[in-house]
Amino acid sequence: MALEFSPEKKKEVDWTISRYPNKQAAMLPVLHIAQYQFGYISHEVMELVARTLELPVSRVQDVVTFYTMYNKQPVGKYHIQVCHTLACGINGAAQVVKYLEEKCGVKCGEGISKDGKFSIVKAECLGSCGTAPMMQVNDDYYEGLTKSKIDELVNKWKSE
Amino acid sequence: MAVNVKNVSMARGKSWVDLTYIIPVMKGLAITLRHLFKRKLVLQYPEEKKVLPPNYRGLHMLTRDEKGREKCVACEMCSTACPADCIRIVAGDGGWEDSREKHPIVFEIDELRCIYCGMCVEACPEDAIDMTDMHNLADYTRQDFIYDKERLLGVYDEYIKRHPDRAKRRDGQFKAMKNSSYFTVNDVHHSDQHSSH
Amino acid sequence: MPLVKIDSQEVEIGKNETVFNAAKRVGIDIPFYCYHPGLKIVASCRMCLVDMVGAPKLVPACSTTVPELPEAKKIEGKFDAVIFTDNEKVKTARRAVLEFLLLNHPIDCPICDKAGECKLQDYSFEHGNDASRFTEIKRIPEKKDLGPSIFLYTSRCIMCSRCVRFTEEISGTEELKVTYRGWHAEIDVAPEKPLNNKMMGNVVDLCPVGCLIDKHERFEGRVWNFVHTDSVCPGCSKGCNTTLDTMKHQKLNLEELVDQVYRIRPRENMSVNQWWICDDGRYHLEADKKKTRIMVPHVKQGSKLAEVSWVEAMSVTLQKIKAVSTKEVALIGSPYASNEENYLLGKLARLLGTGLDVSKPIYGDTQTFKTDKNPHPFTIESEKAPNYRGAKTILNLNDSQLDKTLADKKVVVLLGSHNIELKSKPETLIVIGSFEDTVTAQADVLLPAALFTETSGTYTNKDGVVQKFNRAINALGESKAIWQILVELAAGLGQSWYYENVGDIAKEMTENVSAYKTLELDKLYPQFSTLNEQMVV
Repeated sequence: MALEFSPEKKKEVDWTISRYPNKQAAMLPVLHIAQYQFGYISHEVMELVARTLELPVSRVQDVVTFYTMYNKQPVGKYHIQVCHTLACGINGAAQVVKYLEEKCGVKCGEGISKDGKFSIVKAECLGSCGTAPMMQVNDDYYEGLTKSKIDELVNKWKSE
Repeated sequence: MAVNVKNVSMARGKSWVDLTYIIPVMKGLAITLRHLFKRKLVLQYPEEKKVLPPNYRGLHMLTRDEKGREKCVACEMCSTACPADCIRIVAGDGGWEDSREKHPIVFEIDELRCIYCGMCVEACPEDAIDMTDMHNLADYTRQDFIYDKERLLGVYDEYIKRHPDRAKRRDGQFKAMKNSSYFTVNDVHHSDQHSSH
Repeated sequence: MPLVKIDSQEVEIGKNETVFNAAKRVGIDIPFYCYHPGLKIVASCRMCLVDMVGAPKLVPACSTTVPELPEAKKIEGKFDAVIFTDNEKVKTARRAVLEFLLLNHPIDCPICDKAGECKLQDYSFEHGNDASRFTEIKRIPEKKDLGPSIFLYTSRCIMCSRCVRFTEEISGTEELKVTYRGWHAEIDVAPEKPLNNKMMGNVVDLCPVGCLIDKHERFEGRVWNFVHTDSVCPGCSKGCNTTLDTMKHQKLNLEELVDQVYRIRPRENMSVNQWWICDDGRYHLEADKKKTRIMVPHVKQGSKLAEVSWVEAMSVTLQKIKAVSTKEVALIGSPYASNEENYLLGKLARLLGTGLDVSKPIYGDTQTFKTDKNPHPFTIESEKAPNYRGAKTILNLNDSQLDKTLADKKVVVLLGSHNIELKSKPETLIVIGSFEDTVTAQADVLLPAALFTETSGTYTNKDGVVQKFNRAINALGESKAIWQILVELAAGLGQSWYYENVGDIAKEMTENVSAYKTLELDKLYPQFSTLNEQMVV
C-alpha cells in the first residue's frame, strides 16, 4: 500500500503548501514534515511527496539527495550529528566521534546501533563555533562537550 | 671519345707460369684453408635453427592475462594502424559482472596479407598483440593462413613454452613501463625545445 | 546594434545574442560542453570562458550578452565590448577546466564507443595539458542500466547536464536527474522509473562524452571507420533529416561489413525536426531486420512462389500485362516510394492509358512532446509513410480509392506492398516490394525493390517540404531500385526511356509536374549545380 501522511501531518502539509505561490515551491518544508513522520526519506516517501506536490519522483529524488539533512537511510531514535568543521575539529571533534562510537556501539555513518537508539554522522558546521566541540541530537544542540557530559547524556538516553 | 678496346680472348704476353694458373689456384686454396679455422656462419637448416632476437617480427600472438583470457579489449587500434588492412575484429560484450567491458569475439589476422611491419604491436594499448620469432609458416590453403583468435592464443602458449625467460621479461618490461613516467607524456616537450634551439 | 571586437574581428551583435553565437558567425570556434542550441543555457561546464575587457574575471561566452554602451564610454572609441577567445588567460582557464574534468574521467578510450567523436578527447588534444598531475585514486562509480536502450557509464560523466535538460525541456518526461552533489554527483533515474520514452535515443547524441551509450549501437564499430550519408527518415510523414552511418568501403578488413547501416542519427533541420528524431526512426532498421527481406524475383508456379531470374520474372510480367487490354491494367503508386518513382509510374500509366491510383499509408499512434520550455514541440505523426502527400501531388490524385480503382481490373502492379488492404485479389497481382507480408504472399510476380538506404530520391513531407535521401549502401541480394524496375518495364511495353540516374527523373518531374516547378533542383541534386557552374564558365 502506498504511504500516506497522518491526519495532523496532512493538515500541516496543506497549511505549508498554502503559504507558497505554487505547490512545487513547498518541497523542502514538506520533505521535512515527511521526515518527522517517517524518520527517514525512503523511496516510498519520495513518491508520496511527489504525489502530494504533483511533481515527477525524479525531481524529488534530486532534491533529497542534494541536501545532507534529509536522511536517506533509517536513523536511530537519537540521531547524533557531530560537527567536524574547523572550530569543532580543532577542539576534538574526532575524539568526540570516537568516544561516541564506543559508548553507543555503532560506527559513525554506518547505520543504527543494535538497540535501535543511536546513529552517528559527521555534520558540517552547525553554527555554534563558540561552544565547540558540539553535536546536534535530533533537534537539540549539546555544546561544550566533554567525556563526562557525553557519559551523562548517553547513559540517560540508554536508560530511557 | 676514344674507346679502349682490350682483347681478353688470349693470354698474350704472359709467361708459362701464368698460363698454368698454379699461383691463383694456390691463392684460392689458401683462402679456403683460412676459412676452415674461422667461426662457421652457415647453419644446417632445418636441423639447426638460428636463435632470433626478441624483437624479431614474425608470426603474431595474442597474449593472455593472469586469468588466461586474451588481454585484447577489441579497441581496433591495431586494425586501424594496419597498413595492409589484414586484421579483422568483431567486438563483443564482456558481460556486466565481468571486469572486462569489451573483448573480441572474432580476431583474425590474414598472415599472407600481413607485411610484418609491427605497427599493430606499436598501436596496442594493452600489450595484447605481439610478434614472435616464428616465421616458417606452411599450410595447404590460403584460408589456413587466416589465423583466428584461438590459434593466435595458441601461438602465445607455444611461444612462452619455447622462451619462458623471454615471456617473463616481456611482462616485466611492460609493468615497469606502466609504472614509469611512460604514460605521463612528458616527451612532448622535446619538440618545443628543438624549435627553440 | 552593439559592436564587438572578438579577437581581431569586428562583429555586430544582436540585442540578446550571446558572445558564443556572434563568434560562431565569424568563424571563431569556442569550445563548449553544456551548451546546446536547443536547450536552456546553464553555463555550468566553464569550457567556453572568454576574456572580456573590463570584466573582473573570465565570462562564459554561451550566456554573456553585450549591452550598448553610451557613446562616451565606448572602448577604443567604438566598441561595446572587446573579447579575447585565445589569449593566455583563456588558454590557462581551458587547461584548468579540462584538468578538472579529467580528474575522475577513466581514460578508457580504447573500449569507449564515443572515442573518435568525443568532445573531451578532442578538446584535451586541442586545449588540454599534455600530462596529468593527478596522483590520487580516481573515483569510479558503477555503470548503470537506465532503461531499455541506454547504459550510463557513470564514471565517464562530466556533468554537463544536457541529457537532464533534454528530458525536462524537450521530451518533458523528466526521467533523468542529477542526484547527490559535488564530486558525488551522478546522473540517475528514480527506481522503477527507467528512462523509457520515444525520444530517449537523443540523449546519446547529446552526451559530449561516452557516458550515455546506446545498447543497440554498443561495440558495433569504431566511429572513424564510419562514413556518413545524408538521408531522410521514412518512418512517418514528418520527414526528419537523418544521417546514416555505414562502414568505409576502402578498408580491406571491413569488406564484409560494408553493406549495412550501423546507426541513424538526427541531422539538424530547423524547419522540420530541429536536432532530434524519435526512437521509432532511430531503430527502425532494427525492426526491419526482423522482417524477411525479398532478395530475388519470384513467380507463382502452381500455388507456390518460386525463385526465378530477373529476365524470367520480367518476361512473365510483360506477358501478363500484354495479355489483357490496357483498360484492365492498374498501376498503383505508393506513399512509401519516392517522388521520382511515383512520377515514373504515373508517366507510364498515362502513356499506356491504364488505371492509376495510390495505396493508403498505414496509420498508427501519434505522440507530441509538449513542454512549456520548448517552442517547437516534437511530434511523431500518425501517418506512417514518408511520401503520401508527394505521391498524391505527383500522380495528380485525391485520397486513395483503391477499391473503386481496382473494381474491374485484371492486372494490378503494386509499388510497395506494406500490408495494403485488398478487398479481393485481382486476377494477376504484380508486387514490387521489399519485405514479405500478406500482400506479397498473394502475388503472382514478386520483384525485389531496394530500400531507401539503397537508392536515392526525394520525399515530400506532410508540410510539403521536398527533401532528398541518398544511397548509403548497395542493394541487398538481387533487388533493384524501383525506378530501374519501372524503366525496364516501360522498355518492355514499348517506351524507350533513358535516365542516367534519379537526378534525370527529378529534372523531368520538375518540368512536367506543376506543383514542383519551383523546386530548387540544384540544391537537392548537386550534379545540376556543378553543371550550371560549368556552363557559366
